[in-house]
Amino acid sequence: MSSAGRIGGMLLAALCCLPALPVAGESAKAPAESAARVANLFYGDALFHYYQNDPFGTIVRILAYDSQDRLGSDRAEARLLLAGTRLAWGQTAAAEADFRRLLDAHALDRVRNRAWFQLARIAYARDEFPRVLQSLAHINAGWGTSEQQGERRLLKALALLKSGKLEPARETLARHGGASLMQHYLSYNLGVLLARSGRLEEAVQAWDEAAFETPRDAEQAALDDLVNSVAGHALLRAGRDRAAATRLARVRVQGPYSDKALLSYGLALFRQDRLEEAIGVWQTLVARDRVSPAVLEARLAIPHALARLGALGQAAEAYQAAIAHFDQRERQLTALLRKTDQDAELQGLLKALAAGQGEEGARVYAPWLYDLFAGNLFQETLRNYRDLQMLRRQLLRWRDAVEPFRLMLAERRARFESVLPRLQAFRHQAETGPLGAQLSALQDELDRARHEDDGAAFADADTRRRLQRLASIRSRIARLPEGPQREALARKARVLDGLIHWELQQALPRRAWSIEKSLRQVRGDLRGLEHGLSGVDALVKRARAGFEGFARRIERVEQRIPAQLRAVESLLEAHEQVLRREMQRRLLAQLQRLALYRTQARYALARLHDKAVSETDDTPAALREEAR
Amino acid sequence: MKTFIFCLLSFVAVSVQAEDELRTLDERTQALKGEVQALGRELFQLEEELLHPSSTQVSVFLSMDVGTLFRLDSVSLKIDGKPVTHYLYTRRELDALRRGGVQRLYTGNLKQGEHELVAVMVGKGPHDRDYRRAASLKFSKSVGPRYLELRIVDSESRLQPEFSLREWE
Repeated sequence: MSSAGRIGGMLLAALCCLPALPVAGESAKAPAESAARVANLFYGDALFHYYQNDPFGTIVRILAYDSQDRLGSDRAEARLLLAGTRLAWGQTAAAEADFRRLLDAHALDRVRNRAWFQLARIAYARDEFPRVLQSLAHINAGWGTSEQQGERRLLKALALLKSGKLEPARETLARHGGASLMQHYLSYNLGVLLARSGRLEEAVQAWDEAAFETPRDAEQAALDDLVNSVAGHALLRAGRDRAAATRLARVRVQGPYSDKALLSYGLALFRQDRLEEAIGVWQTLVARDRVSPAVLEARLAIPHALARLGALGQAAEAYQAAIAHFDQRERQLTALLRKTDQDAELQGLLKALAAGQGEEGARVYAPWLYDLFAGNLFQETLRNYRDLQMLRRQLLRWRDAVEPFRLMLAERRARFESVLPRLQAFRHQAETGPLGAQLSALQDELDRARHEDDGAAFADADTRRRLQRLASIRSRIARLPEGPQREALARKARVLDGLIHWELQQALPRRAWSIEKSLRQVRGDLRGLEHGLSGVDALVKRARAGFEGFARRIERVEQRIPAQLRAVESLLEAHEQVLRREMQRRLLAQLQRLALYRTQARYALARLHDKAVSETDDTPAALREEAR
Repeated sequence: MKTFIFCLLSFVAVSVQAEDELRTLDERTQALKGEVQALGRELFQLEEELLHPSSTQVSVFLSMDVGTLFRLDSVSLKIDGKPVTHYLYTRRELDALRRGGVQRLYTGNLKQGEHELVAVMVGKGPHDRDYRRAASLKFSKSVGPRYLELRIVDSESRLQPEFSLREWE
């Protein structure tokens, strides 16, 4: 790795050491505070899943409740939680879009501040340092707890450092105050950048500030190891062996940097001609029986120092032991390389690592691939691999869950359709067409009678009976012989007829109005019935459309599940292939390294033999050189 | 000597090609996660609308404020005298409740009209004594969904847990 890349990695490591932020700002605060803030049951339900470390359940709930408009006054909080959870779940692009949506003019300040802070973190992870500074500049000066303000300043100082603005970074660092772990990390990173720009003295000063006099916990001790190791190697490169030895000697023997530190510590002593001490250090390293490059190289360094001491016999033995050791390691490595070709082996290894079984799950590989497994990119990839496996399990569960939906819908539909014939029968009985025609005929008759002043049309039963009786009497009178008696009876009948019709004419307006009212009443009832029947029709139509809608949704979901399953499978396979290639590349590089060590050991051994021969042989040097 | 120290100071980085491939895979994975989440949302809503239409839906939520005076073991719910759910709590769920999470404990269907919910909470009370308490609520189910909340609150003044049921509009 280039020095720039290494420094970048260290800075990233420092950022990763920021105290973990709750994924949605303050939502993971103290219980009482959070409990008091949750005003909405559905947001609370999403939090219930979030606090159980169920990011997928949290995201799905917020998406569903938001689209159902159920989040009420906690909507902005819920959207922050959504964006934060997506960010933590590796969906950087989606999270960024979510945070940006929260920045509209109507958003509350606390929401905007938190969104800007998260956007700054996203930009930092992408090495977009000007955007980090821009995002941080949007945050209100007084926002956040002292812890959040500290995190903000750390992010700003790191962004300035990575932009090469050392002095502003130092000023930010100086304003930071206190003696938090973050400040120590900042000092360490400042030292790295100063050393990178050739200002070693200032770098050493920054590293002095970064180190702890007496580390109080594992985290402080680990940082101390890192500082001393990096400082020691920088000093060693600058040829300041004594200072380098002092620094490297402070690295804990049991820490993760100890192999390289011990090797370099031995080298610093060697350069000061403290050969026996150097050999002692390297023997400590070799006794670890590890496969790290530092331990393997110590096997070469020991005979080299022994030869310098003049112990040629011991040096030769040590070289031979080193060659035998390299041969043995090469056989192990070759066998391991073959195993990585087997799909089941690789999948088992990745599953074990993804399940968090760490070195236990990768016991055989870890010694050779420790740097790979510990790297950020590998860890991110492993997380994706684990998430994809989770998505596969989820999709398989859904695939099985959709069929019951279909059955349930079919049953509900069948039940509904079974009720329909009865409904149709009622609908038929209540048909309004004939009733409407009768009503129209009656209205026409009423209009005609009114127009023609036909009082008889409104005669009641008694009047109709009287009229019938009078008609019968007049017909009998007509059959009488002509004469005065018939004439008198006919006159009486005409008078009676006139009387009845006069009564009818008198009653016509009242009776016509009464009938008109009745017809209106009936017409109103008829309209009500028609409306009711059309309501039933609409209900049936709506219910059928509802069933159709559900069926379409189920069908869409059913189509998407296998497509997404295929995509998950394909991505899992692609991850396996890339990781396999990378593992094999690294194992091959180590094989080459072993071959190089062996060549060096053989060459050194041959020179030792030459030297031994030359010291006992009186053949002229020129001839010996020619023979070689 | 120079050779081995050179080896020491060189790391085997992830190859550029592998890095590019892994970045591409990461982008594809991110996009796929978004698609599966959208599908999850659709299924979540479909299930709710299919099993519990809003006209008949009743949901009971459980929340806890502080929760130091009472350690919840289980909750049983009865609606109109019929048991509808019995839930046993894990440590992780209790922790989520104490931190402000609200559990959607039960979702079912009820006809419109008057109903009664009875909740029985079992757990450990102050001084680690067995604790069993009930709370009840009469409520009316109308056309829309009905949401009820079962709250467990520490009463600092009485040093006892309190249980209440309330309706949400």
